[in-house]
Amino acid sequence: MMELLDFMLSWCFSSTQPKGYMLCSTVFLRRICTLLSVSADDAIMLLLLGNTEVMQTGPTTAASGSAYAEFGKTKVIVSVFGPRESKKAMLYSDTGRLNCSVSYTTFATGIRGQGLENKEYSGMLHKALEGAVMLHTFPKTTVDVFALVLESGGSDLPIIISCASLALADAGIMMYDLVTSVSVSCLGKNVLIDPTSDEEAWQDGGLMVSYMPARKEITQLTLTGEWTDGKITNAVELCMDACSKLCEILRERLKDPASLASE
Amino acid sequence: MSAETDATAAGGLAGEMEVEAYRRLFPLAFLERHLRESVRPDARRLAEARPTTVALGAVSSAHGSALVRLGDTAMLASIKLEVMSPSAETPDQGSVAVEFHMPPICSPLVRPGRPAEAAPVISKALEDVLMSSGMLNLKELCLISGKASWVAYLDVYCLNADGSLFDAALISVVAAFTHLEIPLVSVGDDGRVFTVGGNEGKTKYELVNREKRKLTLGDIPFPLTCALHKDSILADPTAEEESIIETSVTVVLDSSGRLVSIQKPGGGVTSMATIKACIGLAKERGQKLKEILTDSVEAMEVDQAE
Repeated sequence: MMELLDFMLSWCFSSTQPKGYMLCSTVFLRRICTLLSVSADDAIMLLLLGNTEVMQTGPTTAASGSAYAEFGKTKVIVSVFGPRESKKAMLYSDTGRLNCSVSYTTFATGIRGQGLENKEYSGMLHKALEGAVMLHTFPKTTVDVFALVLESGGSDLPIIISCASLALADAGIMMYDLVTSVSVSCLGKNVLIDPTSDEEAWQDGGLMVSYMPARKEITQLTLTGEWTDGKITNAVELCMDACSKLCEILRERLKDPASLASE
Repeated sequence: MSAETDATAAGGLAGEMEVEAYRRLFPLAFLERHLRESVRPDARRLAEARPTTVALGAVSSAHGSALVRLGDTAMLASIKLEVMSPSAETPDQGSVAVEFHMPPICSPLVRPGRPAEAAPVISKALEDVLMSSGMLNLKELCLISGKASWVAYLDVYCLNADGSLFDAALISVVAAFTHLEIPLVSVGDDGRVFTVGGNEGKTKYELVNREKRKLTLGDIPFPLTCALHKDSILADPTAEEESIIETSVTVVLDSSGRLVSIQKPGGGVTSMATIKACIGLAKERGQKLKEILTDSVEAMEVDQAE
């Protein structure tokens, strides 16, 4: 059984495969896991491995720092500007300001949208990052974090948060640690990591954890819907574990962004 | 030995710093010194456009899309089709709604809540060129005369602004239309038109548009913007060059070499001979863009075949 799984995995992620295979790998992996009836936890770790598609720094040269993330269908660009002069005539402040804005393209979702700012996600992004950024290192000025969701395919907010912390690091903004974020959906007995839009639509409950792995600190945790006690604890631990793994990937990208661009 | 290499390294660094400072402090002088040597700050020749790439089908949620890179400028165009009832004056025509967006990610000059001034200008220019070029036959966007037709929502997003935005936008628009595939539709019992997906649906419902899944494009418009500085013509200027030089001419020629539009938005005066030279450059550029577009279509077909 495990040999078969190993083979399937190596096939999915071998670098010789064109991108199309990479994109379908999540669905594919999920099917393998059901077939092999792997325990939920194992399956979840596998899924995470399969879902980390593309993360890279520097798509927007006009910005101080930027990052692009593609997890399955979800595609996000984050640009960081600053530290620069604060926008409005704001009061003097010893600490810097962090300004976050998340917007969707009109074609991001199935039905054509308005392309307006998503105020809820803007606020959530700010709250997830403010604990990690050393605001005192840029007094009187503002760092702007702007995210644009090119295509929404589920788990949008956690991807935006992880991508934003990569962009902040690319811009050289001082942080206590990289913030990575992972969400899970509870569907009946199963806990699915990094859910797609369909899975999110049918979920009984959702959990998102933003985490600083090196400091072992959670910056944000949201829990919605129906959950049972034992499951919550497991799911939070699972998210934290996944965040640590995601953080390692982010670090690799920051160390050697050139190798990824040439891939 | 090591002290010596350190010294040369430091000297080199100091030299670099000076050039960078000169560039920031005296941008015009910096540019003119380059132009005297007939070269641009990014090592291009004066009449040379930046390397251009076209990737079709960048957005899977749209019916047609294209990502265009013109040097560092990146433009994402996407077309979504929706069924609507046509207007009374043109019952047998569909319509196109063009919108150009400059989200705050693309440039430090754009901030959320304060839309960029350039965006509506480019939006209008795109619409004018698209409609007057004759590339699209709006009758092809009609489904049932007087009852139902397609409205093509064309959204162009600037992902990175580094000059010649209109050029990149128009190339991405043209590419998105070449990629556009019209979905199959059928008419229900209640007279409503709905889209049909999958192989199952194709046999189940009577289809309105079994053929004509692709639009037949007429003469395709290709743009070139030239910045004018004294006697020099700088093709395809970067954001840095645009900010220094006030005058520019945008020429749009179609694939048969006919003139679609010339725009010279204010700035210093210029001679007819210069404008003619710009048209000449645009003609050459049009040929190149045509090749790039054909290559991108082939590349996509190869991808699909695999």
